[in-house]
Amino acid sequence: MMDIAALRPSQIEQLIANISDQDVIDILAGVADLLGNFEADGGADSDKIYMAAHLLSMTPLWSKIAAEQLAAVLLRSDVGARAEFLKGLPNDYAKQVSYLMETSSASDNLDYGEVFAHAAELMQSRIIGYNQSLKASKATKFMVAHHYPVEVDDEDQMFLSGGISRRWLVCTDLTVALPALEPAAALRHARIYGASLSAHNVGNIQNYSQALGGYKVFYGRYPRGDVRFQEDHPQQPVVRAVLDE
Amino acid sequence: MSLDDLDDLYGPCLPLQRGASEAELGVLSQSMDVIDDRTGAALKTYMDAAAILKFPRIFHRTTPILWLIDRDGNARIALEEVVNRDTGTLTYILPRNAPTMRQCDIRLGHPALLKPVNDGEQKSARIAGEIFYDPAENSELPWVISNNSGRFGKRPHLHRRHLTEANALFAKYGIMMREFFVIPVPDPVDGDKK
Repeated sequence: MMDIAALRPSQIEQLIANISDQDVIDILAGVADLLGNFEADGGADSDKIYMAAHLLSMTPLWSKIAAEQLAAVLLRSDVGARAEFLKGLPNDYAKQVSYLMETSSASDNLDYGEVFAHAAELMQSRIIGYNQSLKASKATKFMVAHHYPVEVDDEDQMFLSGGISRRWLVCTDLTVALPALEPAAALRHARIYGASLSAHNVGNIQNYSQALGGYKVFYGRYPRGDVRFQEDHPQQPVVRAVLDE
Repeated sequence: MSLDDLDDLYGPCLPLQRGASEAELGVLSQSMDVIDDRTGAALKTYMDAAAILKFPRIFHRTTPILWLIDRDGNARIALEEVVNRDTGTLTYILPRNAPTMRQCDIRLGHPALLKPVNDGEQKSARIAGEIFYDPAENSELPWVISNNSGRFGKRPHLHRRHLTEANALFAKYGIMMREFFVIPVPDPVDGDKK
């Protein structure tokens, strides 16, 4: 995680010259941390949040982070803090992020009867695909990582009830404040559910792909406008990692 | 020097942008010094000490010196103070990223480098920013001055030359720093303006 509040000019200069994929991951986690620890006070702290976004905007960062990813981070922060952060972003990018946050909130009004019918169909097709891939591997341990901190969801329960359940460990209850950048951290902080591994957290695909040192990562993305499986599910990438292939 | 000359050098003296907390408007930072021959020389000695002492190097890697150019073209400096909301008592000096403050505490940023104003009045300055100990590979100067202030430093009319002039004001006292100019957020394209 990069300490966004404490970024110095030399660090910004380095990021302007060269911003790596790992930097992007670290910054995104740092933004979540920043917005989780500073409140918009109408004074110095508001200014700190605003200027942090502004300094980051001097780098090519936002061309490397999908608006959906940043929206997911901002959605978990205090409304005032997120508003200050948005003010420091390039205008067009801020508009995209704001739009995504608004549409995410709007989907709270969906009829969940229809949602779950559709979700079940989607889940089934996805799980069949995952199972085929997983069965073809020689791995004995797997992990599921979501971007959001929730209890075991419908999709995971389908995994648990499936034939591969003994090869999984379920971990959940990770929060946005946790760095959750590597599986070991996920395991330390997560609640363990039996024999399946499923880490719900705010990492992202690159986090797990890199942290796993090249282990195969399966992932799918809920398409924009797609259903939400539970109230607090934003449309976020889902990562499935093979731990010991 | 006339006010017009000062406007040209450091930008016009304008009320702060964005907001300021009640405390920032009603308090003057206890650590504030106006830079003159005496304080300027002392500040140079303090900053030069970083070449020998680890203490100022470590301290100012994490904790900025706030600076500001006031209406009369004076440079002012202070540390980022945290004070008790009710009593105004100085509680501690805050690094850039500090643990969460208590509810009774509030942080004082750049507006607190100026004397308190009455209700309804605003504090005004020409330009402001931060000074850090922040060595970089491309410079032999370990101290860096920036216009990193949302209230007084990053305004559409301020350009890199204004920061250069502010840096030159410190250089008059032998304080040599490299510059880091925080560019304005790009304006919306015409089609987006309403």
